[in-house]
Amino acid sequence: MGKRFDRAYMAVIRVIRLAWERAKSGILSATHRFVPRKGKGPSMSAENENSENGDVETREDGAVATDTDLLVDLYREMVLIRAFEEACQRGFRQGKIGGYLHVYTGQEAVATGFIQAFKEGDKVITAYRDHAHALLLGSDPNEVMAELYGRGTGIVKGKGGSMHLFDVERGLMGGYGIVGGHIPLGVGLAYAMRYHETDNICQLYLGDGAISTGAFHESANLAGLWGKDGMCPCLFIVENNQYGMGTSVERTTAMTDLAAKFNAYGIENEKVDGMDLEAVIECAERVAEQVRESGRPYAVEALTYRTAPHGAADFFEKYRTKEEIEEWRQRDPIGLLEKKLLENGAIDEDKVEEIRGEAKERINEAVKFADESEQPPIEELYTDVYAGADEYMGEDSPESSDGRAHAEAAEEEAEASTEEEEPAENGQAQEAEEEEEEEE
Amino acid sequence: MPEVIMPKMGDAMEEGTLVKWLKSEGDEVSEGDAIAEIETDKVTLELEAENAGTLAQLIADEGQDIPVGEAIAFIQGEGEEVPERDGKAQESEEAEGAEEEGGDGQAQAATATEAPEEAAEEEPTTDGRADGRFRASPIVRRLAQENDLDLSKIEGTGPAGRIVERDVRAAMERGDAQADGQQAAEAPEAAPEPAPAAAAPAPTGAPGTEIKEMPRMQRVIAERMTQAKQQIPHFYATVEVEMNELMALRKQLNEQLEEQGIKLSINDFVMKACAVALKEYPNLNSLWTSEGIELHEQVDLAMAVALEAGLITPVIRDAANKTLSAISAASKDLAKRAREGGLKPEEYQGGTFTVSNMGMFGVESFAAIINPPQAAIVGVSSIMQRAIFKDEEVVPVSLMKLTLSADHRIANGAEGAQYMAEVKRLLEHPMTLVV
Amino acid sequence: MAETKTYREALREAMVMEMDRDENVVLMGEDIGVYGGTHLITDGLIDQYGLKRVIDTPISELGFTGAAAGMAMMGMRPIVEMMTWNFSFLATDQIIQNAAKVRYFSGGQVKVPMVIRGPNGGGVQLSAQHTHSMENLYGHYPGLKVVAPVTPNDVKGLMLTAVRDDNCVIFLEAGALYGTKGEVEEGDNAIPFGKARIAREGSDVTLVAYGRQVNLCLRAADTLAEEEGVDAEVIDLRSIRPFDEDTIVESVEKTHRAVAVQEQWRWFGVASEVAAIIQDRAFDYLDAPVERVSGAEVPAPYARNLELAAFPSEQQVANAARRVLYMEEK
Repeated sequence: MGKRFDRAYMAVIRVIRLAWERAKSGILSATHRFVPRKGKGPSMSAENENSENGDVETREDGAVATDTDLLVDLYREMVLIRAFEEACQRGFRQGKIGGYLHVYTGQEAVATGFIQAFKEGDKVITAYRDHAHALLLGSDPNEVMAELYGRGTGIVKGKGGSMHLFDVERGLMGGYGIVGGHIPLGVGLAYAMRYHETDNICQLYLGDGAISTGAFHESANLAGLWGKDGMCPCLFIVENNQYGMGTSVERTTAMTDLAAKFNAYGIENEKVDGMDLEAVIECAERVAEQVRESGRPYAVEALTYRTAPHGAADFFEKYRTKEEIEEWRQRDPIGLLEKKLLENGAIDEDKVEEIRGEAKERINEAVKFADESEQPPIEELYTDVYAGADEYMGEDSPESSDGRAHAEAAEEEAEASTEEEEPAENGQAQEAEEEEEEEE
Repeated sequence: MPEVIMPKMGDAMEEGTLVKWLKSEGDEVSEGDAIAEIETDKVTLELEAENAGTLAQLIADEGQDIPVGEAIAFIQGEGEEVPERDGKAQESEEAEGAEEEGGDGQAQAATATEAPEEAAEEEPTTDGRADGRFRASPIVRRLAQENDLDLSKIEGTGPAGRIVERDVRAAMERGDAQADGQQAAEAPEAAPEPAPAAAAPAPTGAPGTEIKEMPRMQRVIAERMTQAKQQIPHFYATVEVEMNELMALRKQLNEQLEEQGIKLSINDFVMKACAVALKEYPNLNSLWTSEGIELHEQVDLAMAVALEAGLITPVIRDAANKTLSAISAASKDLAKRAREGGLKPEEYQGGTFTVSNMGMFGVESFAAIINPPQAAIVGVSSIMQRAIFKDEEVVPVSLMKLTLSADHRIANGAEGAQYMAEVKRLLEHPMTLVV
Repeated sequence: MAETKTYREALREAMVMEMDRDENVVLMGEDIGVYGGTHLITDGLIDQYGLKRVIDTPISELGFTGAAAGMAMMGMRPIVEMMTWNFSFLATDQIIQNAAKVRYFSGGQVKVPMVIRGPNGGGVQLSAQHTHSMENLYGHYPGLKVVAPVTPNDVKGLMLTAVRDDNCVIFLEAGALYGTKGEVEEGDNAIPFGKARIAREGSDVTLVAYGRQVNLCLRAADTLAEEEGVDAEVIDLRSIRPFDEDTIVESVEKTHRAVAVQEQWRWFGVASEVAAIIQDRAFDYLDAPVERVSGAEVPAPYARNLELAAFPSEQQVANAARRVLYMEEK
């Protein structure tokens, strides 16, 4: 039993509990869980930690005693992810990063915990908030940052940007830009793994917003169905960060228990406190193993919170209060873990500084690499459209007059834009730095 | 209806500015009346009407830059109604109008009421006919160009009088659509500007005459030579070269080279000399282009070869840096294949300077026409035995005349003269060409 | 060696050949297994290949098409049946946003070797929601390949190529012609994409079509020969993307006149593309503007007479040919 709960922590717990209680009311009260839960007694699992009685106080009992060295390593990774995302926000403000930018700040414990259960040959597929997944799977931060900077050295050669990180060799089957659109793919990946008679699984990350798409329901239905024959080792990880862009879960679905949605498709499910890394790890390792063995899908709703804005263009955050953000910040997954590690003496303040310094240094290197890398060669415009030796280029091949026109226009535009940007950049960079200081 | 075009008033003139209209649309003009003020890069002057009539349409605006040759107005002659062809189009459209859809009907109405205007808006004819406005399908235009047909003589049977392929095929079978200057005869004053291909009189049809159809190659040559002689201000420079030493050297070399199967001709020496001498006179090794004079470092020497069907100029690449024997071998090979019709386009295109040799025909001298867009050509005549004075004595020498024809837009006379002096010097000191 | 087979048999034969050759080939779709397939293309295959390779899916085109794309990303080669292509609108997000593009936005790290097949077009009184021709829709997207075979031999040969292709292939079958017979080459007759077929040689006018309209053009060509002494050439495009420009251009250089025929609506259609290519590459050979014959600009009606009026007819094609030949219409 923990000795201390600070007030903010308790406030957050109340938010979570409130959400669940709402979810349990009405329809849900008449619904029974499709899957009988294992372990009726006092559970060691995170599942019950967040179970219907909302008895969060069992959490500390329930938390598995994860190896301390491992926790320090994971703390280091989370700090690195945070630093990476902050650098992205800076880069965006400086005009170095284009398009959309969605950062993972506040949600780090979810992917960090689940990827602990990742085994070689497994696959990870997610939506567009995908930087952390790539970094955790071992992708080179340089290449990830270069991708965001639109460079030829980027992890997908500057063709996808922030939303489309792929590192197939390491198991990352992509970030996808259409909410819910990647879920059918993930189910297919899982089928193929079983079809090829491996014991690999697919970790399929989706957000609370995706739960309302048709793609989710069709895919969950297929997964449940194929799972009956042990042909769908798919671990659904619902990263419920409370908001689909700026609309809260309560405002998008009447039945807010997202885990329970899976009951309709015969998929076992549970919730986990997505801010508590140890709870996530415990859950992840247990359910991943189950999916691996059974070939049946499983769903975990990880309750978390995006403390950063939705995207770089989410300026006003009218949909939530500063107080709410502040409350969740008190339960920041990195802060929580740091506190714990300090308390149990695994690290000291100096070590914290050292880890932060290392992360900053590593990310600075990535930024430098990205900044100094060349833009993709213009010939890349026409590659990777089709697979195969007889790659068909369409009418717009570089050899055609149209194709040349495109390429030339692109070059001119690129030149023009760099010219324009030069003076503005400095000003922006300065501003950005000032902002950073204010934030700190 | 005659067009008033932007005249070319200087060699380098590509466009002129219409400063001011001196007449208004609808004004009657007499021949010689000033109708507009035109400005070139050098002068401002008045443009005079070349025809009498009504100023039917002012196409160009004041202050507008207009490329040379483009219409700026039309003059409607007395009694000239809207052009005949438009009338025809109108008729057939009326006949078909009932069957056609509403959209087309509207278009026809517009055609009927605004015929003069529409006619004027159509592209000016590009094939030299004063009145070339007609509807013809793309394949028809292509056939006309390839077969030198005058489409104005062909009646179109397609919609709105469009000339279609079957009309052309029929006309070709009948043989009555050749472009032969008939147009000019019909409207003598209708071609104010110098026509690119000068109008020729109709055949006399006298007994004992026959019409020889020009082979395509000859037609192209005719066109290009006409163009060259009309547009390029030629100047000429002739030198007499003493050939004794060269002939002696050639004899000696050929004896030694016989085993290798090499036989150098006089012309090989001349070509080598012409090419080498160009190093100092880059203007003469150049092309007249739309952007200006394109100087070439490398001498790609074209040699004129007479063929049965005409003339062709295969090219010896980088002739200045080739040895005599290489030039000799190349020229023999190219000439042989030229006569057999076995040259590839890249072998007869892209020359930068031409040598034309008529030495084998016993000509004393001749001046060649420049092969555009090149800057110059050298005509090689026969070697003649002449008695000349040398140190107060009469001695027999072998003399050959070389005549340079050069483009005065590119090079001036002194340059040409100096160049020819250098060629002469090289040929008279032939060892310099060998080593 | 060739044998007379139906379109259906030839199609099935190609899929069976590929399933035997490559274990990664699986079939997916609604009612393709136990039921035997709405069009009986896959009848009996579930017994032959089992549940894992012949997958009956729920009615969720988006879900199973996307899942098939996921399988393909893992190296499987699914052949997805759209019971009719009309249902593919539900799956367009997966086809266009994922299958067509993922190779590009992954920087070439994945490929999506899958085939989506099914009956396309109308003609059997299915009215508005069940009558569409999809060539221009799918032909628009880089990353997809689109074919529309009309003969039994082509349906087999193009299916073999489609299954072996490393990209997402949109395989548009002439649904009204499943029962038609034709000579089919024995064995492996894989036909490359992007090669049109001269269905009838001629010298006076070029009729360009694909799918069911090829047969229409062939009939119109016969009529033109009988009534006008006109020798029409008929080109069966077969492949919409990649597109065989050369065959069309060569034909028009010979005939100087062209008519493009399509069942789909006129605007933004394949026929417009044909016309554009001809004016682009064979302009100087044209003797008349290129004509298009297309479906009526209405949702497909039910009543037989209205439906017939909504699709291109033999007479329309023949008259379009007469127009480009400057002959009187009949």
